[in-house]
Amino acid sequence: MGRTAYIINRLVQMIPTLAILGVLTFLMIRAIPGDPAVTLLGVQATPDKVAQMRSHLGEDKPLPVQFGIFVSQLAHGDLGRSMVVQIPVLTLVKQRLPLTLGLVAFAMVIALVITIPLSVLAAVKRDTWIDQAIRGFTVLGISTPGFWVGILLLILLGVRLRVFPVGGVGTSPLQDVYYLFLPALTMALGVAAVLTRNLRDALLSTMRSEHVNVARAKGLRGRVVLMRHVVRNALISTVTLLGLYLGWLVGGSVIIESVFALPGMGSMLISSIMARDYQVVQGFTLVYAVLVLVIYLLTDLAYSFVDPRITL
Amino acid sequence: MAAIDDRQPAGSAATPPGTLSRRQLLRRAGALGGAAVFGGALASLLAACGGGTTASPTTSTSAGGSTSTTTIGGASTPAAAGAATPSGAASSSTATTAGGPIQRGGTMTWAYTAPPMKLDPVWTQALVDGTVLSQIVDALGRANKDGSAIEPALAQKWDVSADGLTYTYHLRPSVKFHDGSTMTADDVVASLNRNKTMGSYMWQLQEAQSIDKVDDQTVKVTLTTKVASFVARMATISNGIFPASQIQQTGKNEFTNPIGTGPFKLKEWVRNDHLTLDKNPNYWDNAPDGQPYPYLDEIIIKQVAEDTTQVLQVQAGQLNGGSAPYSQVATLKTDGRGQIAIFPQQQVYFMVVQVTKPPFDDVKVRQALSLALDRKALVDRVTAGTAQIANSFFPKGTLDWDPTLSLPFDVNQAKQLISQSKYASNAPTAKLQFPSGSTVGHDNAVLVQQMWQQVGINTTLEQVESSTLAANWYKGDFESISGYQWTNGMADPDQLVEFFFVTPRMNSGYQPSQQASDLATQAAQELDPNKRQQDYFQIQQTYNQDVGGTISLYYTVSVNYLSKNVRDFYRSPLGQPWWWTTWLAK
Repeated sequence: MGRTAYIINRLVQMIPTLAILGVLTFLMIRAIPGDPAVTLLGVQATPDKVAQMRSHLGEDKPLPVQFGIFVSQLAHGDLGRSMVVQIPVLTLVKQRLPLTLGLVAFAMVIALVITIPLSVLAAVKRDTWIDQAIRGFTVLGISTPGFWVGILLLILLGVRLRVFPVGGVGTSPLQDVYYLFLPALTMALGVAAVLTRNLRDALLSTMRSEHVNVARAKGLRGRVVLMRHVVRNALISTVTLLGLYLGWLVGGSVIIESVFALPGMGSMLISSIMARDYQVVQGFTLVYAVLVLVIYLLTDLAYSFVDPRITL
Repeated sequence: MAAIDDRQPAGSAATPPGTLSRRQLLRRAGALGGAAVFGGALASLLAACGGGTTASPTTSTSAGGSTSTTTIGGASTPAAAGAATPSGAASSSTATTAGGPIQRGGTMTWAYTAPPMKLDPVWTQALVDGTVLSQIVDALGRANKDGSAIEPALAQKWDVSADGLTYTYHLRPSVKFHDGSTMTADDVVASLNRNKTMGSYMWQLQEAQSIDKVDDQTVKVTLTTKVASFVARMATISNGIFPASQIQQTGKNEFTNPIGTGPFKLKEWVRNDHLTLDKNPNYWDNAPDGQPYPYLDEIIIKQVAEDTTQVLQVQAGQLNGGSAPYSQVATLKTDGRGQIAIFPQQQVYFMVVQVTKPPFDDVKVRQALSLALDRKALVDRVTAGTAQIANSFFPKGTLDWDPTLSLPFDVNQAKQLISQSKYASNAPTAKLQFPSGSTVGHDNAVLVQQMWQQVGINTTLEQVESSTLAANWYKGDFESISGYQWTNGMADPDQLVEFFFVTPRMNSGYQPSQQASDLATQAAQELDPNKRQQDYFQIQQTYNQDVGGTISLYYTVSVNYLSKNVRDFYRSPLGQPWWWTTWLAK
């Protein structure tokens, strides 16, 4: 089917997924013990204050009514209003999403910058000490927890050597590149580790394939063979993995945002869950879901561009 | 993920599949060894750099509170005395020395682990919200520096009728709101009525049967009964004065852009990221140099979720102030990269026990469990020696706190009490819960478990997510809980007594005798300070004997970590930072 039809088809398929997710989130956040009124009042909670607060937050309405409000708001593109900070969730999304997206994209770029040269080197210098060292690095990268690496980098590069700032963001996009480098690097390392292994294997198997042998037989120089025939073809499987990892990075950014004190969606999602701010949790979860689904769609589209053999 | 490719390139010397040639083995071992060494080096590096555990107790503000002699404890760091002046030596106080000629201007950046969430004083409980609001909003009175008395603020003076039922407030003239309008009695009446009719502090005006404007500069409040804490209540920000026009416009909603009369005004608020306060050039209170406070031009308040990160940021010059974990206090005092400023607070760190559940349902067991606690050890090991041992459910320094009481440590007597109790031979296991995200809560719980073990009570520990624990606590569905502290928010004990002794008694099921409860009600209405003190002393004694629903552990302090150029920072015993008297040395 044509690309446009494919895209529309995929977008339509997202709707049931998002609907189920919406219902699940709505129920789950209310099913866990604790509620915003008691949490807000803390040690001061008494029955009459709690009743006042619940009424003020709209939390005292029966569950089906609350759900009805949620759905009808959604139909109007309204994600509700944060119970805790009292401003529309959509406004909060607009304020915070750019940073999260920027962080994820930056992390992906760094991951590719690390991955491609390393995996090409590892494949070409297969079984030499270079290859072993690179594969050792990948094992390390896969097994160390991201937040640990993040804190370590903060201490080394932020405090001791003062090369990078310790968390926070800058005041302009250019400054942000500087401020986001460490968090993006932290996220990138874990991804780069996996991608390097994958791309290396893909390169090796591509190197052994028929069309590469033909290219060599034609007398093409090594580098030309490498660039034109090997890497491009090996990238295919890596692109798929990349897409999957972009989705994973979106989720992983939540912890990193906390460690580096970044005002993105993730840090707010965490604090909203703890505060039982139902509206924010529902709204942000849906936004994350849309993000991940769109990334998967783009990945599949990219796949079809990179590999002409693929028809959608 | 694809498997490691072991196939040999075509044409090389073949080794059987699945085996390694010697060269390959050596190469792989080398890589693995290298990785292991690298990993080990990283790990030890982290351990060496390893900061302390985060130690921020879960705080909640409340109303209440009064005096303390503010001996600002703590050493001064050598570096701080640096700035130009000789007089520094005199203060045995923190590094925020009286460091010479005050310099106006500058922007101060301060971090909180939780961001300000509600800037509406009738709806918020959070400490950080209160902190911001106290820079923006004034009330009729305000607590003096050591919290021992209420001094004039937006009211220049007030009279109390002979029967104690009528309070007449004479307003300060020509006070301007941040929007330029002048404060009058209409604004005061509207603000007080708002607090009376909505929010979480309506109790503060529940005895007020009418709030009337007498003339533009005079407001009269008439009460149905005597209220000993009334003047103190009128000095809290929930009774802060806002323009009547803003109140009318906002209706039932919360303020999101509060306009007040305070030393700073709200310039910008990007939720959960930062909040900017600008100097109010028309502030009514003058500094010693004849110009109005504040000295600073601007304050930026940022959220930095981890206090270990805050310390790093102060040292890196990105922050002027934040908090520091207890475990780092000793090092930070001496490493010269910043200043540690410690202020005693009217705060008590306590445990709650459900007196209807075994083994807490026998008063002898409760007494024993309190005697089994080595509070000094708790102070030393959990708060790095900064806190002080508690002797009452009243925080130290609260008005009518009884300094003669004690909560002793006596393991032998504890064991004896248990043997006399109904659980002499077969004490059931106790369950102790504490909130997640609180290292202090965890550390306390572990130590308490050990101490109770000594007297024969086994305890299981359970870390519970904080909102879940709050919900369980609210329902009374728990055995024992640790990890919380009470902070007085008002220069008077009546709320403290209300919560711990009258109702809800911390949802602990504790029931004092009718006589004792009546005493508390009586004390709340007692206008004679001596009689009132006697009543409260009696109540504290009763509470200690009964081991009412809570066991007080210690009185915590406020640990602030400041950059080297911050001067004259002060935090009151009621938790408010006096940012209008703070300045930055250039």
